[in-house]
Amino acid sequence: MIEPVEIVVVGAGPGGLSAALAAAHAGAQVTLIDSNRQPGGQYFRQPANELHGEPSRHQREGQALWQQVQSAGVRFWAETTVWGATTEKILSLNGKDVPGTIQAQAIVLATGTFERTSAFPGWTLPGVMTAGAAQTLLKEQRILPGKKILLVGTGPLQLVLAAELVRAGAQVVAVLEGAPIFRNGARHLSALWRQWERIAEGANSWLTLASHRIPYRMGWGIVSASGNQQVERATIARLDDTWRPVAGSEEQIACDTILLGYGFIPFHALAQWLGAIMTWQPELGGDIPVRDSNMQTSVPGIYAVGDGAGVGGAALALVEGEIAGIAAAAQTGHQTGRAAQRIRSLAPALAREQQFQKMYAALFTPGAGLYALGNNETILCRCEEITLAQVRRAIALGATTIKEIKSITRVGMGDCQGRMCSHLIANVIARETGQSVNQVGMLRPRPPLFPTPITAIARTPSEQMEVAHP
Amino acid sequence: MNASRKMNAPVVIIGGGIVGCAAAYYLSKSGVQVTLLERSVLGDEASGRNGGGVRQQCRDRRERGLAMASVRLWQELQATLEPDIEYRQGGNIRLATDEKRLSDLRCQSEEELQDGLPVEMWDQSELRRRAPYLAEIFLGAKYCASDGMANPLLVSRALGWAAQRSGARILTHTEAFQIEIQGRQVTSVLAKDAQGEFVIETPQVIHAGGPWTPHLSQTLGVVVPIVPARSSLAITQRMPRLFDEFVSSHDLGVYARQAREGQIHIGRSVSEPGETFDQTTPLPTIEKLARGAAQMIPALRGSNFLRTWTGTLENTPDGIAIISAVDGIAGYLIAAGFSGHGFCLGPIAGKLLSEWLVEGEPSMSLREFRLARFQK
Amino acid sequence: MSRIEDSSRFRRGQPVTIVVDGERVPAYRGKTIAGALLATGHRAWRRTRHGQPRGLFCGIGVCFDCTVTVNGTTNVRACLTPIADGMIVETGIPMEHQP
Ligand SMILES: Cc1cc2nc3c(=O)[nH]c(=O)nc-3n(C[C@H](O)[C@@H](O)[C@H](O)COP(=O)(O)OP(=O)(O)OC[C@H]3O[C@@H](n4cnc5c(N)ncnc54)[C@H](O)[C@@H]3O)c2cc1C
Ligand SMILES: Cc1cc2nc3c(=O)[nH]c(=O)nc-3n(C[C@H](O)[C@H](O)[C@H](O)COP(=O)(O)OP(=O)(O)OC[C@H]3O[C@@H](n4cnc5c(N)ncnc54)[C@H](O)[C@@H]3O)c2cc1C
Ligand code: FES
Repeated sequence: MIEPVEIVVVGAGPGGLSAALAAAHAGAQVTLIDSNRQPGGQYFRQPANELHGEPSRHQREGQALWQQVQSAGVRFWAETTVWGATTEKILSLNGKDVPGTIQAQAIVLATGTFERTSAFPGWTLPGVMTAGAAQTLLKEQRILPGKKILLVGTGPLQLVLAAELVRAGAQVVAVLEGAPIFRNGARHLSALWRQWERIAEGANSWLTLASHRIPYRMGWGIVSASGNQQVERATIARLDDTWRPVAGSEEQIACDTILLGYGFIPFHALAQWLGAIMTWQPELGGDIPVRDSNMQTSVPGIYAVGDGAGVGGAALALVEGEIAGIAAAAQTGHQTGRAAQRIRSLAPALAREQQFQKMYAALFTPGAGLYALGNNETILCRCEEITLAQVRRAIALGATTIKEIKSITRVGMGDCQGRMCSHLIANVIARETGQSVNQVGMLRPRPPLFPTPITAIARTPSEQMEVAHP
Repeated sequence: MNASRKMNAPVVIIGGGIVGCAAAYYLSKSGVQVTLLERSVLGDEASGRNGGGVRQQCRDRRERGLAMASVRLWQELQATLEPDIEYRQGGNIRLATDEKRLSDLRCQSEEELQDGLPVEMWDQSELRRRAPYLAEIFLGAKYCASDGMANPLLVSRALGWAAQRSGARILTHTEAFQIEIQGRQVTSVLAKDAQGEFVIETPQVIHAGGPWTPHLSQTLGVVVPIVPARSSLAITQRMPRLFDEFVSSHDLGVYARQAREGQIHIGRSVSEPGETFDQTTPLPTIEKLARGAAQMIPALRGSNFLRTWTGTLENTPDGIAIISAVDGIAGYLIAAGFSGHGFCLGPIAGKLLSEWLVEGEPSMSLREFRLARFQK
Repeated sequence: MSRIEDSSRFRRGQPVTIVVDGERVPAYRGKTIAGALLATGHRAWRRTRHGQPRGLFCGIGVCFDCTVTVNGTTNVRACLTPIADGMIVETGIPMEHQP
């Protein structure tokens, strides 16, 4: 049985909350779905319910928005994952007390991102984790990821996270920024105009780091990590313009935790399954849906907003969400007369955030050197434990495409569905076969989006599985 | 047409599925310099997406001999190909949930034994004893110990790359769009790749284009009655080693096998209605796979589906392949329409095609597989 | 690693006990399994098929590095799953990965 719904918003981060609110205000029946226990997504991530205390500024903003969403009458299905989608606007769900399949009149995808990683020797050691993992532990559970922490990556989020870790009592041994910001930064001064709030947050973080004498090294990156059973030290080096380590500049640094913050990769599978035409935009994170000014994809009635439609930060997600919410509601017959004008009124805010997005992309997109750190023994696919040497052997046998490499080596066939390694493998193949990453392509996700219990898919509880004895 | 791009080949194979790759493999081993054209990459279609079953039992009697001969080739290929194609003879169990099905299987077993295929009938208690992982709803089964499975992702590629090492020219991302004849003799194949169109002059074409065969054969005015249908599979996350056999139940509509790496593959043993080249996996099909799997093998009720996918079947009106010359056209062989059995039969089909061209005649009769059987 | 909910701004949830590989591990409600393990000094809890130690990596449920067996259910992501009193968690090499 397929339950009909009017508008469904997938993802309750800034983009999704904002879309749900705008659509509900226009009078639409909105169902908001998120696989997390709590609304908020990454940016507004709330402390676990059971922790009582004073939330941070982001968390308070998130709570305020969530309260508005609730009073607007939006139905929220928490701990519910959309695992499948078809071009008929049908979504398959896995959650408690929710229908297994719904069909929507309009869908807003606000699925966000996951983090880009880099395969350097030692990156699978316990203690190496994404910056987002540390951020999440801190925001949601008030736990520090380790004692002596090295942050490597790019972008201002690193700075903010480092400062939060320090304020929470961690020892941060250094923050390495891969991009040579000062060399490229001057060109983007105009975009910084009216980004005061962000600058203030950055400056504040900067002051915290400075007052604790924490080195912030621009144009530096990680080369390898080592240790017995877990991280004990890192080798770092100065990077050239393509992010390749400069020979002879290596230094050793003792640490028990390395946080990787190399930017984000959009969750684009649902858009693809719903039939949206995709475009390869490496500076916005990779494959993203093509959209019009209403945030509508190439499929009428399917909208995509926020980082999942092109990395641009929470503020852009909020504006895009509002536009999509208004447009989706108009599409299902609400306030059709006013929609265009309301969307136009958001144009200045949208333009400002898009300008910031451009600047961010220009400054903080990692160079090709990030993907050249591995040696033959380095694992590229964490799930199946496939090394660079195995990928090279498959190329030597005759494989030239990511599909072939996948079938020969099993890269990307593990439990993460290739999310973690797809971009790593594509970059290696591109380098070794002289193609562009775009030519090589990414692994195409296949449903279910995440490993999903057979009983949930069959929508039959285990005890009802028996068929009658013939 | 860009005349500057012209090639010559004594034999052109169109299609890099298991049939085309096996033909390239055996012809190259016999010293024939074949050129194989594949519009995608090797084994990207049904040949790389199928259930992996290499089965002789429960076959149409007309193709039983081929299946048995193919199994002998599979054993050789397992010993020689690289990468390892994961072929093993873990047996095949065909299940029955009712008396009618059971008695049909029993009749079939008599015929199979007559034809020299060793199979066993299992009653309910024997089935319990031999396959305790199966649900208790089955009344009995037919079992063939020499049946087995291999990894479809690897086989066509391993064959194609081995052919390449023996001198075959393998052109991937290259599509044949026309076959040309002069008088009654094939003269060339027109193809296109990323650089554009080109000509391959050749007196001999093997057309192994799976369900797409009719489109191209049309350029010769040859009607090939093959229709597409979609068929889907699902796999679970890795599981403890549960079983070695390839098991299937037509009553539940599913089959299952456990891959070497531990994942359990589950496919539909009945084809989906409708002629289509669509390769999206319908959500109701995923549901049916999940339900069927959990009904057949109770241990799967606690497992997760990791991935699903869909391939295109190539069905003929009578359900067996076309391996045939075409009356009135010299230099044109068709090997297609394996109707869902081509993974098992691929090696023997390739070998017989090679013999046909090298020795003038295949070592087994292909009478039953003539195209002319449809032209009454 | 270390907990900071005793800082003035936060109070931790109710204490509960979970059983990790037969050992009783004190924890606080509101933690995920990964949180509880990290807070008690565990950094690696899974072993891959090749015997390599793994723990938390992405922290948001996408990488599947952190999986454990919970009350008999395998492949449970420790980073997403909230703890409950008496929960039985098994780490190490899940059965299906043993050779
Ligand atoms: C781990 C992590 C931590 C981050 N921390 C920060 C930070 O501290 N500060 C900052 O400025 N930016 C942070 N970012 C960047 C950040 O994502 C934002 O720019 C912002 O949250 C984007 O908002 P969004 O609405 O586009 O997506 P998100 O906030 O990412 O929200 C997307 C939501 O969709 C849900 N979802 C995705 N797919 C499905 C599905 N199939 N079914 C159900 N639900 C689904 C997810 O659970 C998630 O809650 C972080 C990113 C990541 C990946
Ligand atoms: C889901 C599924 C499960 C199956 N399970 C089994 C099983 O368990 N056991 C079994 O024995 N069989 C099984 N089969 C059937 C088996 O996979 C096929 O019969 C077999 O793969 C056919 O091989 P082929 O080489 O003829 O065709 P295909 O694999 O379809 O290959 C044809 C190739 O030709 C290429 N091509 C076509 N036209 C052109 C052109 N003009 N120019 C260039 N290239 C062209 C295509 O791109 C394709 O790669 C299954 C099939 C499916 C779909
Ligand atoms: S740490 Fe990645 S899934 Fe849990």
